[in-house]
Amino acid sequence: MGAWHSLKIPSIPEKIHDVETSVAEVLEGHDFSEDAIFAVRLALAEALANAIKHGNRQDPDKEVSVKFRIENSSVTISVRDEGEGFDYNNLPDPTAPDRLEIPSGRGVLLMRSYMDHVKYNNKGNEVTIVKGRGVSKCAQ
Amino acid sequence: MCPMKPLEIHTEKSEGVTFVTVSGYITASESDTLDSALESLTSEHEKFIIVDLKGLELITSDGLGVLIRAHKAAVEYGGRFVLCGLKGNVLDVFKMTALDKVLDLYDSVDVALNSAPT
Repeated sequence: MGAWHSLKIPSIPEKIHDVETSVAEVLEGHDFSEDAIFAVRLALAEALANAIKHGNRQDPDKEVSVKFRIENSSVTISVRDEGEGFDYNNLPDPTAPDRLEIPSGRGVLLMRSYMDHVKYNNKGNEVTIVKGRGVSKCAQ
Repeated sequence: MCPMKPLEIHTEKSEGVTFVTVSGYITASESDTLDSALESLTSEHEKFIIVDLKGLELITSDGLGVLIRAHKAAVEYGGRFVLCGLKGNVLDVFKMTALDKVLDLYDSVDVALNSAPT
């Protein structure tokens, strides 16, 4: 089992890119495929945006906690905010014909589409995402 | 890994067409910048807006929302708002969210330029 890496960021969207870039660099060092790294960047950016904007409502006094761990063939990342959580089981399907033109509501769909596993805690203020390493182009 | 380029937006108008070139990455913090750029065009009721996304490296749901808003605004005043140049993983994001059914996507600027209104 790899060790957990932890960090905390203030609730400002400008921090999203810094975090997903840092994680992507670590994944590249562990020979994750380009597709897997793209998927993690996307899902992590969604998780962070949800935590900062919806969870902490960009309150400067609230932080977002991120921790991640690399195991043999996958990465596990948890993102936790200080908000009230949400009912993640009752989200409308943004791909339903009558919802396609609604500008918001696609973040969780993207996380679920690109990650191998997505799990929320009961309160709904912490999401854990897991992605396998994939096949790197060097190995193909 | 090459670091992703920051968001860059260039706008040019020629013979009744507005060309917008967008490159780099768009997460929640960059989506406001894109929104302002596109909103300034749709508020002027530009008739034909072609957005070249060939250089787009990453787009999250906030960025998708901006494109949907611009598309809806253009349709509302009878204009056209089309996207082109999407490829690879970024194109897959549009397909995964079924936005390829709503937004007008073309392979390249030339194909978009010569396309008939749908």
